[in-house]
Amino acid sequence: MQSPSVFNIVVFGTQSEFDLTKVLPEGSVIQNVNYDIDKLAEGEVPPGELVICFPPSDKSISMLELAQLLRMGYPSSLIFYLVLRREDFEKKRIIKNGFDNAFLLPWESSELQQSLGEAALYSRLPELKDYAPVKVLDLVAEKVLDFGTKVYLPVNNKLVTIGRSGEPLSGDKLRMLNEGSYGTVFVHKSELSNFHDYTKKVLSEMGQIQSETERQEKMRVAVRELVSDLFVDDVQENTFGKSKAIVEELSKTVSAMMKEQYPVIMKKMESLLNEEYSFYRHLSNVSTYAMIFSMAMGLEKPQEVAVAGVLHDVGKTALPLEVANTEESQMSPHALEAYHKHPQLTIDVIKMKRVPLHERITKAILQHHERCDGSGYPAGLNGSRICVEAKILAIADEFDYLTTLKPGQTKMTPKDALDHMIKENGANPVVMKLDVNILVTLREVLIEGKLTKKEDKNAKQSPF
Amino acid sequence: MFAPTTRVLIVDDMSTMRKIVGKTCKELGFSDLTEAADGTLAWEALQNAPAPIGLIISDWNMPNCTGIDLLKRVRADSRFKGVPFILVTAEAEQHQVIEAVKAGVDQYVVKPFTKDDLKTKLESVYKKYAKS
Repeated sequence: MQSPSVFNIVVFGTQSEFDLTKVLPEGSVIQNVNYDIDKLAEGEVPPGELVICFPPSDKSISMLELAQLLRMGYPSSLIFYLVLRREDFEKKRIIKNGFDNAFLLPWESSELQQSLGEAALYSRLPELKDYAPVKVLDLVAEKVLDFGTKVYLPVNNKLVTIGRSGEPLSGDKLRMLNEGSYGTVFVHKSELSNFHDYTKKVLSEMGQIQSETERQEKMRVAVRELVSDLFVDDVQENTFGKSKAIVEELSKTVSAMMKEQYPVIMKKMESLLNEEYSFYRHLSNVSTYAMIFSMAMGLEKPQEVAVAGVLHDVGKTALPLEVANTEESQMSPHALEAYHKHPQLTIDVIKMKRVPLHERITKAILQHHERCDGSGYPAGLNGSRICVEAKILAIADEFDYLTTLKPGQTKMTPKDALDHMIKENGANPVVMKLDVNILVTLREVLIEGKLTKKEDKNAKQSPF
Repeated sequence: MFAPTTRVLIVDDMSTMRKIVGKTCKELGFSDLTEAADGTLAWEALQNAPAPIGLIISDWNMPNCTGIDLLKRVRADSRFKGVPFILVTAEAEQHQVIEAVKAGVDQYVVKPFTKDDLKTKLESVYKKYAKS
């Protein structure tokens, strides 16, 4: 058995706010180095497969110069720029200056972890460069595949064949892949067009335009871009255009979904449930759930609630670092007070970018942490004064939390999550936090398949 | 390979950049280097040079006179006919590259560059001028 080679990461710049060890891939060794411009200019740098930079405290050096100095010392390594303050983060400009990627911490720690993992993987298994990653979710059981599939076994550091070209993948094998959280299999680049043809064929047979994973990826990238745009200082006229585009994308797919019964839709949403928590996934998921829940409730404009979902936590990125880095349950009263400002901060950020939003959307965002028993924030409103969009958003938020994979926690199925929420909130209407009437309706419509009142009346009309 | 006696003019408003380009030139065999911090100062250096300048390596974005304007000035002046001009810049939009090529640039290096990037481009410029 060959042990994986060490992955050397060189970290420039000192900071104590983010614990890098939490996101490092197995088998990586980090070396911390102080910025020494002269040494950098001379090329006296420790070797490494990947370089991480935090902003230097010496502000006289521009990012372009920094990128140039580093590139001279590391002509073929990946160079990542990490920032801890929203003001320092303008991803496009950072990448244009010559860095391979940029991450805002702690919000993009999942994305950072994933990128580091991929870099380490490709570094220790050079043959991987001939393969392309493909999501297991896009493979259908018992259909003959005209491409081979391999899976990466970290223990042996090897690519192992799981399916051969010309043979179908059995349901058992697929199940095993799904359960073992192998999410990704590898297809040889020469066979990639076969895979794409296969996906197109399978999807057209299922009446879908694009695969669920493609749609999700598109959504997440769009959400990430949208949120990044909100960081840029100059006003972006098309920020609302982007959020509108995201919702239109979502509308198309949900429309296609709506041809089926709700329980089938819920089954398809299970693809959202196999992944680890990430800030952008959360925004994207909440938006999706908010839209579906709004449709199930017969709301007239479900896409508005979806927009609220996309934007609802953006204000968190403007929180002071100490607050951002602490779990809510561990916060001091002072930190909690700052944390409870994030709904308003979200509105402030959006207003500053002059993103025009309907009052229903801003209300939903502002009120999504209000609770029916008056225990919420910022205003401590009680149930009758909280708008229905905010109530749905709150439920979608909690639903995502319960159904997402988090370390040390079992994740729930949609049915269990709804049952759990009904149980927690149904005992006594006076002390309910989430609106149990909405929860019960959702359970009836989404899980039991009962029609909404609107659908009873006009069965053929699309909510859009 | 290169003519080690070629006098090189390095133009960039960032001193660290000039240092980096200079260091790379030295490693590639050039020993006679002179610097300027913008296009106007570069133009003065060209005219007042004690020995003729045989290669210009310039940034694009600079105060007073940009690299592209310097390039146009040099190409318009018969005194500097046949002097190779390399632009080393972070600007890499297609329309910019086209403008530079039209103005008579010999090579275009995008920042940040690796040592090999600059070396390859310098070599191709040398080959081109060695033929003529």
